Amino acid sequence: MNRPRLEDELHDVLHRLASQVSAPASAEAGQSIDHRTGVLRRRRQMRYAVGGGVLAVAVVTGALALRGGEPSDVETGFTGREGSLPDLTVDLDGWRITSVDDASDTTVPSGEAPGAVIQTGVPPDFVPGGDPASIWDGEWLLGPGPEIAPPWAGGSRGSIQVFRVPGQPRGPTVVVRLDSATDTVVAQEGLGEEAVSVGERAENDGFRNGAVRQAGTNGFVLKWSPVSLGDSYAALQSWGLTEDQVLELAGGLQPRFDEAAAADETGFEATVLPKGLEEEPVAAIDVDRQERRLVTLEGSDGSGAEIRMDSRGEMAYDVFLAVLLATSGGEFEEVTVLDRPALLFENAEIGEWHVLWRHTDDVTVALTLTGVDRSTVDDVIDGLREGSAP
Amino acid sequence: MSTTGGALAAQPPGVQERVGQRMSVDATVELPTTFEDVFRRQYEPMVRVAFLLLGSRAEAEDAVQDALARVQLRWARLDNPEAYLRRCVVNRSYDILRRRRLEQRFRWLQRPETSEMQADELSDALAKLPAKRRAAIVLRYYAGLSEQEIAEALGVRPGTVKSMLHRALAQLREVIER
Repeated sequence: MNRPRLEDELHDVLHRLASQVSAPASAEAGQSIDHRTGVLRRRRQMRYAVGGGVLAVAVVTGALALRGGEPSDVETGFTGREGSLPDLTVDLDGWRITSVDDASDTTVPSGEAPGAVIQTGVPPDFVPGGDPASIWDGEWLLGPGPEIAPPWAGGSRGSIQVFRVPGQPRGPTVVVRLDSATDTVVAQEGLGEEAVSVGERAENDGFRNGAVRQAGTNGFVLKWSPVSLGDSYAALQSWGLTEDQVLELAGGLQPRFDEAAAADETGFEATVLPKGLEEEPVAAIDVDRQERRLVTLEGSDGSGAEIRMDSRGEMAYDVFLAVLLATSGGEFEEVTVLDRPALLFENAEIGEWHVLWRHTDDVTVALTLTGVDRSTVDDVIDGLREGSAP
Repeated sequence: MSTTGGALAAQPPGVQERVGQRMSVDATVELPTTFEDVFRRQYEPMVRVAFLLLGSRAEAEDAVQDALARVQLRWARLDNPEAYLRRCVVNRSYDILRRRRLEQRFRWLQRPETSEMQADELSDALAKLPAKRRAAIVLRYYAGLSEQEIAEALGVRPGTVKSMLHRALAQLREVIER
């Protein structure tokens, strides 16, 4: 007896398999969806706040404390948490915690304390990898300026590549991120973006699959939907290159696996690299120690701060450094934080200061301050101390 | 699952009568006007699609609930919420598959790779297809979508869908004819 046509067999097999599942649109399912919608909405609101530059200083892990002029004014703590991230404390007057996002634990500190509101219910994988809304909403590193996600923002998904002139970390740099997405990239004029075609196929078809804008005095941010990777987005941050060079470089990036779903984990092969740039290996993620934390605070005068901590060793530091170099035009100042060498970057265009240091071999800390002057930056740096509040 | 005949005129000859029953209602049924409509009509069909991609009912419901939350969040801006939902479901399923691969690669959570599906030769072969090809097959032969609709769901061009289906069928034939 002849076998049925494959297409017919598929129809039958798929319907038989699917019939194993009964999943009515129940009230319970509806409640779960409503809950998820609420979580997404709160995250989005938070990102808008972050993207708008309302950041604050922060801190911590095992314990967190912010204290104003009166110690009882703003002080909250959650102790007894294990992990490799350091305990840091900053004394600032009149600031409050607005969120704690923790990618290391399934249990997030909860509750309210005088002067501090801690968001609850933030899941460990708090970056929505499949929804590019997260790109626009400022989830990407460091607010509205750079939009390249560090390992912090992408978790273990996606890929990050760094291209620069060997031995010249302050030379022209390009950081490329490739990750999953639900939507295609659309230029947002409100962000000063211009629609562009990225890649030969898009150029030939006149398909505007990307958006580019200038970032800083000497940098560009380019986001695009790779034509050959339907469910992915790519983004790069450059400095020291012209817009034409950036577009040429991006157009020459070929996914390492064209059709495999894993392409966005393996990144691109660069076929066009100007100015002697080469891909610089980024240390692999060590998933056994990927603790990350973001604490966000805001000051009463609209100033703000964030501290990001990432325990993934050299990779985290490399990516933070590359992005900060890109946004600062390669300028930085060497400072000391907690007896450790640190780099201070200023992004004058958007009024941000960034301090980056390797707290331990594993842990990188990036502090962002917004809406403050240099003297406040110095005060914060000097005020940082290890350990929880007494 | 909504089981209507649907507009199958765009299906290729010989396939029309055997491709999946369309998940969306046909033209005689009122188009969804509220999120509640979409939820009621598409929840189970979408869970079944995700189940066929993931082999796990729990993960399928997780993917669909997450996708519906995104639809709800963007409701006011969506011209075609059901198409957007399909795309979200596929991409959330990809996310879960990626997580599984990473978990296996790093032995992180020691999650056993098991499927709740009842196995046979063809379903085994389906499970071995790359994720995108499997998605194309499911959307075509289970959901009964056109190549254009599949392209929208997968975020690729219709020509790519044709190629993916061709390769998937060839791969399945090769496996089951061994």
